[in-house]
Amino acid sequence: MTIRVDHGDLGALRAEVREFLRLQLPPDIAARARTGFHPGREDQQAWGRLLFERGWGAPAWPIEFGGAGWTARQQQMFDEECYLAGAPELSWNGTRLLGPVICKFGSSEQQRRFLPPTLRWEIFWGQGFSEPQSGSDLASLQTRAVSQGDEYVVNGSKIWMTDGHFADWLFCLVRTDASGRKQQGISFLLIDARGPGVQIRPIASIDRQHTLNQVFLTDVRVPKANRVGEEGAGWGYAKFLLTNERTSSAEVPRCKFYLQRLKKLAAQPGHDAQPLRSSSWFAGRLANLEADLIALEASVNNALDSVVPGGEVIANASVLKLKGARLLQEMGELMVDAIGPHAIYHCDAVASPAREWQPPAHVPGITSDFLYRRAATIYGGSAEIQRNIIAAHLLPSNP
Amino acid sequence: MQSSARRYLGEQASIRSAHPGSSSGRWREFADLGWLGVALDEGHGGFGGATEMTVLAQEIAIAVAPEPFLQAAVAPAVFLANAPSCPGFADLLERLIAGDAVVVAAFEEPDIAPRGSVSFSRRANGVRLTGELAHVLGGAGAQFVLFTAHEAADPGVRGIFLADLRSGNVQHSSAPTIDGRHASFFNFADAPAAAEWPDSGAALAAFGLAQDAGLLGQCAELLGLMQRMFNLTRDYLRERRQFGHALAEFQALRHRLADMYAELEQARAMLGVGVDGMSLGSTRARARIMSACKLRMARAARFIGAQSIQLHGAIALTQEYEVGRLYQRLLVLEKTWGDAEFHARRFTAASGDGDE
Repeated sequence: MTIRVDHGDLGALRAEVREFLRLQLPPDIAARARTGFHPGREDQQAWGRLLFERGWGAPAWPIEFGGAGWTARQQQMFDEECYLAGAPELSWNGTRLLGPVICKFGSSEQQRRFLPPTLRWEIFWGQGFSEPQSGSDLASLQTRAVSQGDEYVVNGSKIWMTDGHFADWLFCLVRTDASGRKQQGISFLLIDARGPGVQIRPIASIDRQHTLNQVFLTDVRVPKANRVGEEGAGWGYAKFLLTNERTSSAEVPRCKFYLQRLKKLAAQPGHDAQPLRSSSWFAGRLANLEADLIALEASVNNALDSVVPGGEVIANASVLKLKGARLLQEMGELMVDAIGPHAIYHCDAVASPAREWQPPAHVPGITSDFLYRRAATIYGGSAEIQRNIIAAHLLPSNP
Repeated sequence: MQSSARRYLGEQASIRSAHPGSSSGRWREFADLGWLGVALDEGHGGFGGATEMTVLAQEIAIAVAPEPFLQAAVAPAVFLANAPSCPGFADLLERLIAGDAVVVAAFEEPDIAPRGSVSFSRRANGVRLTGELAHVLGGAGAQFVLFTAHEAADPGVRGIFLADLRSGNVQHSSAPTIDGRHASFFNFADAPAAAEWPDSGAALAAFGLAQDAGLLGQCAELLGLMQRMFNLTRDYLRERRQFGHALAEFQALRHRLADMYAELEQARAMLGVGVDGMSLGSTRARARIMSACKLRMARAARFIGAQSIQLHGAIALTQEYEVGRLYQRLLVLEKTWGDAEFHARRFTAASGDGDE
């Protein structure tokens, strides 16, 4: 039996969101966001603040914490409209990942101290989960937090921290107990990124941007008051965080942004000087990708609308992640193929007048994003992990 | 040659200039090693041929050597060796092989959009060129650029030209490419040509041969990249442990590596087809084979490249780790001198009505 969840008047809200975007999204921020280059702190903060002033700083949070109490369907609609209007993608770390954890498991002091500045986009967060030796096997993490009176002393390293270089605070999974099962000794700490002992090293990625970082924690003193929830219960909070937005890992809003961009590229001349849309190779691939997106979106909406039994929900989330990530990559591949030799260039996120040659306006960001999205099937649980989860649902484990 | 090349190319690459014209670069050393003429047999003043060229190109790719080996050694040397002599430039090939003259070949797909093509007009004061050559790898540090142009008044008529990049008649701009190198744009505004090859029919045939030699070189580089990415991935699967096991123990990953290996071996076989194809007498048959090579090997490279990154995980997204840099190079190779789509069409056109 499925239960339909009522989302209110989605159409009216969508119209409201569109009008807001039309009036409030700064054109210079939109121009940068449309390229697909990862937005920096300045653009994220400027746009985040405008959203906050509208009451949409973290619209999926409960109303009591300053959110709008939106459902996942409403949040998805909002993400879509933002992408299509050219709004920059805001970091998920504070509002979409950590925020719900603090709302649900945090102390009232943590809620009072951290939620408002996060909502206002005054503070930025870094997610300290992965370690050099703990990627897919996250529970094997080794960053150690030793209890000393009212504090923990933390030593270790976190890696692949997106936007870590401008994070004010970090939320980290640390090991408070090494004696039992690996999952049982993990705690969830909030760490001041600007405090002593925290060193952030930039990681240059193959898209020629700087978004990723490695963080070294050396004798970092963390008040126990900054531990979220119970000691040793961190793995459960992490699982809640990672699976809280089951359908958003399909990245349907980003797929729609890519589709919009592909349709614009379709007007560009191809090898025969005719618009690409009249080339059968391009038109055929685009048609298939659009059909794939229609199916993906329908499956996401089915998941959002219904309540389904336990195991199926988990496998279904993995199906969405598996399919969504691959669709993103295939769309990116078509964009790269559409621009032909222009794909070889390293374009600036912001066009520099000093450059001797400027690429055509539709080019910057495509190659960079294509290279970055090789990670779409790696981040948030690799494609191999997703297949394991699906298979575990379908078949008994191998002996 | 292969092992000495591997040793030499691995040394000091990061501190030497990639520009052939630079005194701090390795170009003269390449010349001393006989590498600039490696695509030519001894009869043409070289030290090898297609096979030797592909062996060296693989090593250059594995080392991610930045020098424009294909653009400034292989392609122009093959052209000059097979084209009729050009007045005033009879010794250009000799000078090229010695590293004294740097000539970069600019290839254009003949049926591309108007941007990026050059036209010529005959005037009382000589041949004048108008238009632009785009996406020319290895242009920085070159003295001459070698290219085709169509007659402005009669686009069906084509010729082969040399432009002197130091004459002040050519606007040269440069843009960084994703693999850490640069591509050049040469703009001609009614500029004089430094040379035009007489007997355009024979010259065009030689240019076609040079293009195919360049494509073969690209295919060899693709194979080198694929081999290196495969090796790194296999080693990584053995070393990396998660969930208490080496990644190499997981069947899904073993199967993936096996698929990569199968593609690699197909690509290796295809390169052999390409080497043999260079000696085909028919221009059309040779073009068909070279395009098939690029098409097949580009597909193998995309698969091996993507899976190399996937099996490594996040580390392969870093600029520091080798796999990502190889992947960037792969993208540039695929998209220059005709992408997969272009070569699918060229292959089809050259295949005619199903004849062999």
